[in-house]
This record gives sequence, C-alpha cells and structure tokens, in this order.
Amino acid sequence: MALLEVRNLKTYFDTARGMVQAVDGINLTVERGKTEGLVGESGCGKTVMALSVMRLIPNRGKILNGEIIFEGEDLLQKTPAEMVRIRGRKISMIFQDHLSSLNPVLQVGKQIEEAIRKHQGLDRLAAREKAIKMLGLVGISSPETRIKDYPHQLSGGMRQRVMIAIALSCNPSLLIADEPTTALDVTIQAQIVELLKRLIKELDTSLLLITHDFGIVAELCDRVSVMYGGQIVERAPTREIFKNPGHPYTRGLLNAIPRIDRDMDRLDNVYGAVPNLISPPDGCRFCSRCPGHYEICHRKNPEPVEVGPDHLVSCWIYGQKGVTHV
Amino acid sequence: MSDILVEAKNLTRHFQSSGFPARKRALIHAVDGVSFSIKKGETLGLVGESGCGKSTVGRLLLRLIEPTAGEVYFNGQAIYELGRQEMQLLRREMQIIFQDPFSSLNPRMTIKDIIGEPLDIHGLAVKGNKKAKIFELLEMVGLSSEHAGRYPHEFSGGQRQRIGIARALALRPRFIVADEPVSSLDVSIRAQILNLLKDLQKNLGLTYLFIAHDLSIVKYLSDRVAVMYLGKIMETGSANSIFQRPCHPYTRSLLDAVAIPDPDVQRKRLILNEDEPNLSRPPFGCPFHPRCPQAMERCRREEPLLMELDSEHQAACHLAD
Repeated sequence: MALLEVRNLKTYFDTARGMVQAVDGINLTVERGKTEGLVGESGCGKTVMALSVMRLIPNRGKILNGEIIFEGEDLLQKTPAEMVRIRGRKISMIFQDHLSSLNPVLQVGKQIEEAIRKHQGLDRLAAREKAIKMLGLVGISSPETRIKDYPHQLSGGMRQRVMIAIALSCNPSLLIADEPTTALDVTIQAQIVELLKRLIKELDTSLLLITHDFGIVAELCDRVSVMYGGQIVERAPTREIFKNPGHPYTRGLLNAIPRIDRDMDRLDNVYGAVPNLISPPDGCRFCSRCPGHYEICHRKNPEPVEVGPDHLVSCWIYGQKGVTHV
Repeated sequence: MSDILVEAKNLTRHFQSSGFPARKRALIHAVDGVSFSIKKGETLGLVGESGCGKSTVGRLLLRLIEPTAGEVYFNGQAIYELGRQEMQLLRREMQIIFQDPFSSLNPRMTIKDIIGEPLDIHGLAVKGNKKAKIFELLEMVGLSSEHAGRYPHEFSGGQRQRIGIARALALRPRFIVADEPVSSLDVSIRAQILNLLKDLQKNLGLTYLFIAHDLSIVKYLSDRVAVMYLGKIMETGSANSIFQRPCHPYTRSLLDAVAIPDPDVQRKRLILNEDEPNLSRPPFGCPFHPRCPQAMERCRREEPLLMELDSEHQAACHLAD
C-alpha cells in the first residue's frame, strides 16, 4: 500500500474577493521509499497542497473535500492533538524560506533539540548528542561548535542544512520539501540536491518534492505530477515525462528551459499567465494558453486518461492513446 | 572608430562594512581590479555566486556608484571624468533593468508616469508626443496602451519586469545592464522575458551586460562570458569556448552545478566543499584555492593573473599554464 494517498482533495480560501480554489480535486500518491515530484509555477497551489497534508492551512482556508490517507489512516479525521504527534515525527516538512523558518533568537542546536525532546522524549543531554549527530549527518563541519550558532551566523546553504537536520531528526517516514533549493545559489543548490539524494537513501525516507525546476526533478524524482491552476494535468514516471510529455503545458514548460547541454536558438513561449483561481474558467484551465484548443476544451474539464504505463494526462487532445501531435 | 562600446580598466570598489565597535568594521573588496570590454551589439554575460561583486560591476559601469580606482570608457569617453551635466547627457545612452520587479517600480505612480519619467527628466517629452511614445514602448515590450493608467500592484511579476524594460528603453539607450532580470520569475514567464530581451537586442541594436548566477540562462543570451569570484574575473572568453572548454575549476564547478532537465544525463559532479568565504578577508594567493579541488602549494602562495589561452579565451589559474 502507498505511504500517502491524497484523494480528490479540495482546499479553498475564503477571501474578500471570493473563493480561491487553490487546490481543486487533486489525487496524489507517494509510494514507500520513493520520491514523488510535484511541479508547477507559482500560484498553482503546490504549497497549499503540502500544507493541506500537514493540516497547517491558515484560518481563511478550508479543506472542503477529499481524503488524505497516510499509513492507512485518514489525516483529515485526526484531532489537532493527534496531528501534533504526527507532524515532525511521522511527516515533516522543509520550507522554502530558510531565513524566516528558523527562530532568529535561538541557537540552532536548541531548535534541533526541541523537535527531538518533544517527539522522542529524550533528556537534555541525549537530545544534544542527537542534535550534534544530525548536524554532522547533514554535512556541517565541526557540529559541536556550530550547534551554538544563531541562524544569522550561518550562510543560506548552512541554514537549509539545519532545516533538513530538524526535519529528519525524528526519522519521519515522509519528508515534504517545498522548494528546498529555490533561494540558493546554483553551487549551493547542487550541494543540497546531493545531500537530499544521500539522506533519503540512508534514512529510507519517502520524499514529496515540490519544485518548479525540472532539472532537480530529473535528478531526484521517481515520478512527477505536473500541477496547473489547482489541478494535476499530468502524472508520469520521471523518464517518461521528459521523453514523452503529453500535456501541452508540460511540453511548453520543458521547452521553455534554457539548456546548458545543448544550443537553443529560441525558447518556447507559453503565452499568457496563470488563470485567476477565484472564478476559474469553465472547461480546461489551461485552455486560454493552449496552442491547440477545441470547442470542447472551453466547455468541459478533461478527466485524467491513462496514455501509457502509469502515465496519466488530463487533456482532450493529448489525453488519447496514439495522439502525439495535433 | 573602434567597435568597443564599453570598456572597464582595472575597476576596483571597496566598501566599508558596518560594525560596532569601530574596530570590527572591515574593508570589503567587492570589486578588485576587473578589466573587460563589450563590443557594440553583443552581450557579455557576467556570472558568479551572490556576493561576488557582479552587481557592483554593473553599477560602476553606469556610474551609479563611484569607483575606488579604475576607469570606465563609454564609446571612448572616460565616464568618471565627466561633469554632472555631461554625465546626465550620457545616461540617455546607458540604462539598467533591475532584478526585483516589485521594489524597482514606485507603487504610487501609474505605469505611464513610470515610463514617462525618464522622458521628462531628459526634456524629451513634447506634449502629445509623449503619450504616443509611451504607448509605443508598452507595445514594444508586449503590453498594451490600456495598461498605461494602471498601478504596479495590478500586474504580475513578469508584466512588471516588462514595465521595467520599457522604462529602460524610453531614452533609446545603446547599452543596457540587465541585473538578474529573470531570477525571480517562473519558468514560462522567464522564457517570455528572455525571448523579449533577445528580440529587442536584434531590433534596436542594443548592447547588454547580462548579470546572472545561472549559466544556462547566460548561455542562451550571451556572446561572451566573464566568470567572477570574490571580486575578480576568473575566466573570460567567447560563450562557445567557455561552455565547451572551461579551464578554471570554478567555471567547471558552476557548470556542473546546473541541473540538467534530462534523467538520462549521468554526470560526475565537481561539488565545491565550502560556502563562499569572507569578502573582508580574501584568502592569500588564488582567491579560489580554499574551495578548489585541484589546489596546489603554488595556489596558496601566488595569485594567478588572467592569462591568454587563445585569442578569445583567458583564465586566471595556475593549472591553465
């Protein structure tokens, strides 16, 4: 059985201007020991998706529908007290902004110990020992002294390592990483990717990786879901999505990336911008940006269709077997 | 007349860091003896990690800040020797596009005022003609005249960056410094802006200094590339030679760091061990040696100078001998 299975999840936000359909009917599965990628541009709902799994949706937001089955139990049926015991211990999360996610007035060691003492009931000394071990594990040199540093004394890459140490300190079975490399320099990005790759193998943790960077997907993920306008438009094993992308949005994104390994004369333009999720258009949400839309695309939202082994596409045109070009 | 538009010679800028007490203040060598030239109509990509001094170079070229030492020649003219009025006249020729499309537009000004401001300052706005000019600029960057009366908050990041570009183009400059213009944008929007910059260069004959930390973006736009580390140029050359035959270990590690969106590409990466060192205490010898996997005894003692490898490729590394 899958470790995490999200079924038909809907998370809406009640704002002054109307109901924002941030996550609108999403299905997502993370298998044990595997890395699932969730790719999309800003505003597509991928962070809200992650926060829904953690049950950390802010007040204005509501999970209206769906199930989040984690290790066989529905997280949406848990009481707040039960969720406290799951968060950090069973599922933990690395946030994008490493500067605002760490407490600026606490030594980083204390912040790692906090999670360990809370969830594993270790005493101060044992927790300190474990914290030093974790810092060493995430590749920080001389962890015994670094543990007394405050966040501002560390560089961006080191802060992200500390975040990873906190997240992994209680051996969670699922790690959710929300854009873990976005605010970092390319060289540091590469270090963090290598670190994550090594750690999930060593600690046997499953990873839900949220990113907008297909390069990182290619390196880390076993399977990818592409999200657009609050919905998943395509899901496929990593190799398949790069070799045989189905949805026009996936194709557009892949051709919009400048490549270092080949010469490109011109990048593909995905014209326009993401749709407003307050009153999204009827029909397919990508319709207004799609190069080849038909009458039905404006009327009805396409259902996911299996176009290959484990490869789902939600598109009236590409979501049919054998159709590769319009 | 030579075909070089912008030339920097031994450009240096030090900053005094803040600190308390005063003895904790340090001198930061943001830019340290940088020389290069940019030909008319070409793009020089300036690459490096954050804090390497690449933005400071961009600002020095436009004389938005004064140098500690060194010279910049624009079309043969030494710009630091110009008086205030002459400098203002020259600013029509050189403009900048900023990284952050949110903080670089005044939230209380409408789009037509933002784009029209440079025209007013330089006295180029004749009544009636100004409006037409603004509409033309908006169209040039892919917006429409109906946007003119709106405020920046009504636009997305990509559209704001287009407004920033329109403002930079208002005076019909010949040279534009683009300081990480796409680093805060999404993939599909990034492609739109990169294509726009490329088209504008072709149609208007612009010369760019393109500052970025991501080599794949630099590769897409640049004719020549300069790689900076700790305020110094480590390697420079034509885009082809840099990407096909990188000589400096730092350039190689930057290239290796770029994630390639292809699961079949298997690479052995040269991963740098440490985060970037302190700018106020640059290491002795080669600035890169503490992080360099191939550092030798000589690198600790002696600083390598930029050396010519062939007519269009220079590197500052003892290994390149």
